[in-house]
Amino acid sequence: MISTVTTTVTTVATLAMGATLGALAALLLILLLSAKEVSTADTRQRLVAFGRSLDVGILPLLMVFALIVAFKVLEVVG
Amino acid sequence: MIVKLELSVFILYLTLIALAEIITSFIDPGYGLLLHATILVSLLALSALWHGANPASSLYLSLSLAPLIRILSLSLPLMYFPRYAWYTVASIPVLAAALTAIRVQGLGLRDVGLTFSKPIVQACIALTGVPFGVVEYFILKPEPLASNLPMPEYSLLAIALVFSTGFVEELVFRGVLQRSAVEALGEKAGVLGVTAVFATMHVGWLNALDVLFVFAIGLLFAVLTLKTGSIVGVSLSHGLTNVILFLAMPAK
Repeated sequence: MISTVTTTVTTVATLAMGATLGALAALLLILLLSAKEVSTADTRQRLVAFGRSLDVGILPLLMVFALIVAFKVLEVVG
Repeated sequence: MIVKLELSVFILYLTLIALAEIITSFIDPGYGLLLHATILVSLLALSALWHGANPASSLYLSLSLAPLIRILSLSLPLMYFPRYAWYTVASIPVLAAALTAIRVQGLGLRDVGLTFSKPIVQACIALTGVPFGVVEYFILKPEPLASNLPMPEYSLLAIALVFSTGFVEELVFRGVLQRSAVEALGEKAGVLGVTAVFATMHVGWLNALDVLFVFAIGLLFAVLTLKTGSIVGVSLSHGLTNVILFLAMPAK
């Protein structure tokens, strides 16, 4: 079950599905971070620009990842 | 008639985003997320390929916010939060993405419509949110977002709703995306293209009439932003629409 509860920004999946989607987002974050690492190691203009544009995806995904980890830790501790 | 390459690529990505939204809503959110992720990475790569003076570079970078919104909203652990907090929680990473896109493109606040010029005009635009909210309520009939809340909490929730849905979405679609689309594709194609992306992102409501309604409202917001050079009025109108839709009308 999936529901979009507001205009564009909020879509909520069930708990079980949420874990899978969170894992996929974490994989995407790893991919973007790796691409950033590779592209910033080069001096070619386009690769440097690519590395900079990756920040658009990296920062919000890091926030999501931190939130997922925080709730998992709370689940284990609590 | 020569169709600009940038426009063809934009239409291709609009179609892909629509397909990803349909897959997310009707087939499997996991596959939808994978397609959105592919679109995101390829748009960022395209933006870098067009790097330089070409405005298409900014367009593809800005367009990457659309698939990113869905990736973020699908992967956020919102089920751990009370329903009324979902909007605020979901808007924070989206706002971070929009601000990063603004920084990467070297834009200023005025460039993305954050200006308080013509305050009376902006106030009049803001008030259009009341009838829009009433009409959309009769289309969607959503559950009340919160019930039995004391007045101070209710007011705070309304303010949070205006900020998280009104301001953040308008900053993304009209402030960042429309600005670069108009620059790269021209006024007509830019406005229509971004409004189509905005409407496409509402497929998750599973209501065709609402998608049409949102397209019409999005088009009006786009034209008003273009004419006034500010997103303040449309942000307030958008937020007010959602306050009426999710708080005021369901509580009646």
